[in-house]
This record gives sequence, C-alpha cells and structure tokens, in this order.
Amino acid sequence: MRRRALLAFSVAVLAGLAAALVAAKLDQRDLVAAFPARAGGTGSVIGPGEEACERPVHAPSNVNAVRFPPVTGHRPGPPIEVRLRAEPSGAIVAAGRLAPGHRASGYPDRPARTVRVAPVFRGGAILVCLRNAGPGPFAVYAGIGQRRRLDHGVSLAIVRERPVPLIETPGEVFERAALFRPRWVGAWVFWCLLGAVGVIVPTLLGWAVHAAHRGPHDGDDGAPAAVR
Amino acid sequence: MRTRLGRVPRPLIGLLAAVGLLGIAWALAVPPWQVPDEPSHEAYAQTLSERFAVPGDPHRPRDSTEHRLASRSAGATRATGAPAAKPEWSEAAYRRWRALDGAISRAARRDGGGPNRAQANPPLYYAYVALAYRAAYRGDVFDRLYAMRLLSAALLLVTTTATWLLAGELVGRCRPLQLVAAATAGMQPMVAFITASVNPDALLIAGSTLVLWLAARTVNRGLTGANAACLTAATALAIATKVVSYALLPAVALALGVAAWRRRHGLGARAVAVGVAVVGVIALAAIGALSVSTADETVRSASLVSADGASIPGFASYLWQFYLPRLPFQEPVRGLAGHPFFDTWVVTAWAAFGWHEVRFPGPVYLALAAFSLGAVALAAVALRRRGIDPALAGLCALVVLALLLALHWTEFRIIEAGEESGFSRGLRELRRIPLDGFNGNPFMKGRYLLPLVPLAGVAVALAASLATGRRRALAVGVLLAVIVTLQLFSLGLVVARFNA
Repeated sequence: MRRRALLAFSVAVLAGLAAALVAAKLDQRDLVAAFPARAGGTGSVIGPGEEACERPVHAPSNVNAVRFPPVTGHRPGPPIEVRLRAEPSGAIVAAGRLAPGHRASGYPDRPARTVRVAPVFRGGAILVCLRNAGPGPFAVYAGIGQRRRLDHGVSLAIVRERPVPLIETPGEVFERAALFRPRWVGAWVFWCLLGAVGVIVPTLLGWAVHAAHRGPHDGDDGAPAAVR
Repeated sequence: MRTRLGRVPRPLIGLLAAVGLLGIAWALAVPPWQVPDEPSHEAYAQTLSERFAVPGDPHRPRDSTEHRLASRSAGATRATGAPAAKPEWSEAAYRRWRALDGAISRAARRDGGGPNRAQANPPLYYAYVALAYRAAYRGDVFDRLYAMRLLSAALLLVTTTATWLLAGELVGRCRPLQLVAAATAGMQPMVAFITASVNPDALLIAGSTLVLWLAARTVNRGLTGANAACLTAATALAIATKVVSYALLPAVALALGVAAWRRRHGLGARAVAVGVAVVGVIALAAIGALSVSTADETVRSASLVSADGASIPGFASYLWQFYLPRLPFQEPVRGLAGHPFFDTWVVTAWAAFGWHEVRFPGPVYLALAAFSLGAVALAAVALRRRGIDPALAGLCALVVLALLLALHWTEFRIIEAGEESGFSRGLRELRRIPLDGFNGNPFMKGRYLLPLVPLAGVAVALAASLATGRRRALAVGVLLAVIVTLQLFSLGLVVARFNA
C-alpha cells in the first residue's frame, strides 16, 4: 500500500513539475527595466529640440526596444528619437525613432508605443533619453522631469523587442529578487530555494507519505472515542 | 528529550521540514511590504521595539524616517496593487539606498509611532516578532524586516502540528489522513504567504488552530486541570493577538461546558477552582484586548460591542446579496461588486498574493472552487457514514458560524457607516482610485477566513477517508502532490510578478 501511495505521489509531483516547466516556457517576458512616474504634479512636456533622460539603469546586452506612452492631446505628435546613452560617458550606443503623426489622448494609461533601437551589445549602465525631433511638443508620464503619478502600469520601460521565456532568465530574475533583501541574501539564496522547493520539499513529502503508510496507524484503525 | 522527540510521528517530521522550507521561501521571495497591511504592521513592531509603546501618537508620522527612505528606494509604494508596475530592480538604486541608509542615525528608526491602521490590534504578535527585530538590531531595515518574517514563518509549524493533532481528535489516529489534513492547512498557499509576512493573522491562524485542537481534546478526553489550563491559555493567546478571536469564545465555552457536564458527578472543589480560573483568564484577556482595540475609531464603529442603530433586515439583505444574486426588490449594497462570495471564499482565500493583485488565471479558481466544494460534500458524506459526537460537530459549527458572523457584521457596519476598512482605503489611496471605481469588498477578504483552515484540512482528510485500502493510498499520494504543486506555482507566480 505504501508503495502505491509513494508511486501516486511521485507521478503526480513529476506531472506538476513538468507543468511548471511548460508554464515557465510559455510565459514570455520582455521587460528589462521600468521607470514608473513619481507622484505629484503634471506630465513632463518635452519641447522641440529638447532631450530628457531617465536615471541610469543597468541593462543586459539584449535590450533592443523602449516602450512609453507619448501624450499629444489627440493631435499628431512630433517625431521622437529614443537614444540609449552609455553611462557615464554619455555616448549614444543605440538609437531609434518614432515616426511623426502618432496620436494619444491625455491619459497616461493609453496604449504605449514601442520604439525599436539598434541592439545594445555591450550591456552595462545606460541612460534612456527621449529627444523631440519635431516642431511641436509632446508629453510623457515618466520619471523624466516627472510630475505625474501613474495609477496603473509603467510609464517608460526598456524592453526586449522579442520576449524571452521565463525559463531562460532565472539568473536575471534572481539577481533582481536579491535586491532590497537582508545583506546575506544574494541570487545564490534563490537558486538554493529553487532546489529546496523543487527537489527537497517533494522528497520530504514523499518520505512522509511513505512513512504514513508504514506505521500501526495507517488504516482505519484507531478511531477516537469521539467518532461513533 | 530524545524519547519525546522519538515519539513524534515520522510523517509529521517530514511534513514539518517541508513546511519549514516553504515558509523560508515565502518569507524571502516576497518583496518588502508587498503583503496586505505589512507597512502598518511593521511600523507597529518597530514602534514597540524601539519605544516600548504602541503606535497612535497623533504628533508623529506612522512610519520612521528609516522606513520611508527604504520604502521609497525599493519602489514599494509604486508596485503596491499595480500588476504592471515593478519594485526597484536597479543595482545602482540599491547602492544609492545603502549609502543614504549608512548616513542616517539610529534616531531615524525611532521617529515613527503615529496613528496606524494596525493600532487596534493587541500587542502580543508584535511583541513576538519584536524578538527577531531586536536579534537583528545591528542590521539594516531589511535585515530586521526579514528576520521578523522568518520568525513569523515559524508559526506555520504550529499551525501544521496543531492541525495534525486536531485531525487525530476528529478523524482518528490514522497517519495518512492526519498527514493530508496537516499538509492542507500548513501548505495552503495563502496561509503560507500570510504567515511568512509581518502580519498578526499568522499568530491568529496558529492560535485558533491550537484552540480548536485543545477544545476537541477536552471534549474527547474529559475535563482535567491540564486540558482546561491549556485551552484557556490558547484562547487568551488568540484574543491577545486579534480582537476577532472573541468569536472562539462560544466554542470554548461549549467544549468546557460539555466536558464539565459529562464529568458532573465527579466535579469537586478543585474542578470548580479550575473553572473559575479559566473564566477569569479569558475575561482578563478579553478586557486587555478590548482596552487596546477600542482606541481605534474604525473598530469602535464596527465592532460587535457597538450594535446601536443596527438594522437586522438590512443585515439580512446584505448577507443575501453577499452569497446570492440580488432580488429585484432589494436595495443594492454599496461595495458588494462582482461576486463577493466567490472572491472571498475562493480567490482571496486560496491564492491572491501581493496586495491581492497577484492572481492565477480565472480557470484556476474555478478548479479550486470545485475542489473545495467536492471536499466539503465528500466530508459530509464521510461524517454521515462514520457518525460524530454531536458536541464535536457543535464545536466546529460554532467556530465557523461565530467567525462568519463577526466578519460579516463588521463589514455590514462599515458599509452602514459609509466607511472603508484600512486595507481597501489604503490600497485605493495608494493607487488613487476613486471610491466608486474601487472594485473590492469594503472589508471581507479571504485571508480573514484562514483561522478556519484547520477545519478545511480535516474536511479534506474526511473526504479522503471515504476511500479505503489501496484507493486511499492513491488518494493521499495525489492530494499531497496537488498541494505541493499548487505551492510551486504560487511561489513561481509571485517571483515572476515582481521580478520578471
């Protein structure tokens, strides 16, 4: 009986683990870094010829797009250049352009535009900058000279143009998870926890199932006086 | 010592080791303050640790300077309840925070202690986690926050063990069934998530489970001084943790009353003395808890104590609309949007993490609802076949009904007073959602039902008991696998939401 219990447990757990792997393969993510706008004030207007940059962020080598919601007040917007600058030199390492004519309402949760930039192969710290290359202004709800808070969503994001399955980025995920944790916690802790939760916990439970069916109280016996 | 340890059943040892690991995983996986009301609870614990006082000083801010700096740097507020927003990922931002934190003095830990939504709670749980706070005192704010979480996570072991023992009293000393019951309670995703955070519900769940076990034991094994003392102590512990634990009192009284009635011919002066002591300790705990809780306006307006002006037909209408579709002649109850019953009993009771915004796709909850309904139905069939002591059945029913009555009454009073609970108000204000556009119950959340999780575990065990022999072995194996798989997916969901 205990072999049957253990077998049922093992088969079901393996099926669950396989399902988890499939889910992690199908779950594709593109976000590299996000700059939600801060509270207070209004959206930041970027006038003709002006350039505004976000604070520096450490980006991996496969960044190739930036997503943000330009606000044009329903009018055709100006062309916008997206520039990724190396930090601290300020040199442009990648750039892209949003063609003129895009429209958006004044609401920050309206559809964002994704601008492809040349791949940043080197990785490292970069600045995301938006330059108004047209005659009229546009606004962004981002951390750039930021004034308005977003209730939902992200106002400016560095993304991969092609999403990557979650299963391929555990190292990156764990590096992020290790920030703002106790000082002894690093990505290695999350690797250990992954092993503990994926292997040790099922093993312990399998042992418990096995042991539960081995003792003198593994059947219908032992009903307490309360059960009549 | 070795002998006693040797008497611990091996399946329980294995289960406790697994639950302990999962508790550590939950404590570390969830970003700081991404648990309902954790900022308030952490502020309470910090005030108690630093100033040996409960919060509520109107001349002070709620949070310390240290907390505000860390919260802002970690992007905690912007990520709260907003699924698309992430906490801070930047290594540079982390280094900046370290530099700023290193520059502030220890006085920055002590300048909080202002009005706090958690101040209505009695201080027992906060005193408990304050032990971890003091142990990690030399560390930074995250060292102390996560130390408190890890100590809180240890309460999972209490919940698991007490459920194992409760199942032993209600289902019998059948190890596989006890294992199923204890695993269901200790590894239920919301129980693990809440217990591994800074939240007094952790101790409430553990304390309620202890009370249930000791009450069932008292009914089963008779009234002794030890049984009565332990039951009283556990009840006092629960009441000194959260005011809602008053809902346990009718069941405790029933257990003591039934046990005393069954021993009525043998009761002597000693038993009477024990009874008086029991009532005295419970009354003292109740008075202590009430004196703290009535300092809070919300509790004063919504508690069971202040029933003035309550409308019974209105309450009945509210209850109807909570559980069933509104009838044409009924006035709609403000705040009961969507499917409050499903949202409370399934979604936020099973798996809604972060500030309840981290959820599985909808069909998962339909499956969980089917599982829950199936378990309850099969448990009812099993009870009918096996029979149960009416006193034990009454005990369980009283706990369920009293807790539900207390929670629903509180929500109804909040609705009548036109107020919101601290949770929904806090979340709505953080996300700047207008009151009319906030889709959520004014008060009820599934996590408030978690003190009933040991009974849920027993129900699953009873359902499994319908199978016999090899089929039962099969059922136990599959049930355990389903529970651990749900844990895996839940942890993965949380890690992906905040870090991918």
